Amino acid sequence: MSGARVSIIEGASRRAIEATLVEGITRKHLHDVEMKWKPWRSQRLKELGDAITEESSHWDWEAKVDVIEGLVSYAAFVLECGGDAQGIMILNTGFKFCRIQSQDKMPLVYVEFLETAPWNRKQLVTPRRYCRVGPALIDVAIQVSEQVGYQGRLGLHSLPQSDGWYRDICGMTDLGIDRDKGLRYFEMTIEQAAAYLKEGR
Amino acid sequence: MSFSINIPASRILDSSHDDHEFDVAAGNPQFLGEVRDKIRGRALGILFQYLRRDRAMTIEQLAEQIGIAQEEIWALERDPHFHPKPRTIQRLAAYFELSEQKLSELADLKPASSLEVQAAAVRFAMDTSKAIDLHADERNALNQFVKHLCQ
Repeated sequence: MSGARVSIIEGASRRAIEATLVEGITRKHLHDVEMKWKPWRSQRLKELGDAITEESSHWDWEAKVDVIEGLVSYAAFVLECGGDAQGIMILNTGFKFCRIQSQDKMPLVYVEFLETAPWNRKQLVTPRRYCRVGPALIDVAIQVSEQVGYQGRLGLHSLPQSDGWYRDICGMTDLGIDRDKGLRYFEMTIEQAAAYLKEGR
Repeated sequence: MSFSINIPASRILDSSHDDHEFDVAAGNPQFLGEVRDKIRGRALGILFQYLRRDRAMTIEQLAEQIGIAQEEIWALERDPHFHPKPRTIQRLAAYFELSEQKLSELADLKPASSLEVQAAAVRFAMDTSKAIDLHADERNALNQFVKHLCQ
């Protein structure tokens, strides 16, 4: 699959705009992250002073992409719009299992990383360039889970600024702080996945 | 693997899952270590699966020969996250005439003395498939890796 059309929202005008979902992270995407995302974020953080800390600012996407190359249990997706990468996600489709008791030890798709471009982040800028990039990528993760036979089951470790979205808006189950990783762990059941996909219809 | 993704416009545009209030991000702080462990575990599993098949043995026969539970050999061959016991590695090393030190490093039972074995393991894991019969290229990959583990 490459080039699926996905509608997102332009932040300033609140108009719907068409983005492209690409499977796989290319050199161009890594270039966007290094040469566009990082300088933009650095500049913005300077302007904001000490008010904001960005958990993902040290993420090395190139190292992540290098290490999963050739491994069939990983899938990566990029949402492109306006010629730039607007959001990136890496999924793990093998050997990760549920922790919620009702689906204990059932396989799930684990969201290894999900990051949106800094100009699409609520905590860095208003209005954002594009909205709903993250929710669209979660939709993709659920569909991948369905297609590998996991019926929509998802797991992920949330960055602190996203805890409220996963818990209160996305409807995932909050299993509290995972001491090994220092982040909150969230899981999506089959029913929660079905509800997520049904919501906007 | 290629996926067929279809997101109707209404599902994003009319969704109640608005990200107006929050950013949406997720991350695994231990990602690189976990993937490297997985590659190492996969290399170890494929190695023993190939060596066993090369001798035309079943898991049951190998388990009986070296006095290890069948379940442990099955897990070692198939689960990249499985951590074998030191005794299992000792017996497998002795049976297949491999370096116990290097196998222990590969199984994360001893600290790595050099990057050589790890690098060979990554190459091996990448070059091999899960085919039932050993093809020429698989046999070649196996021989190269075994050479590293015998030195």
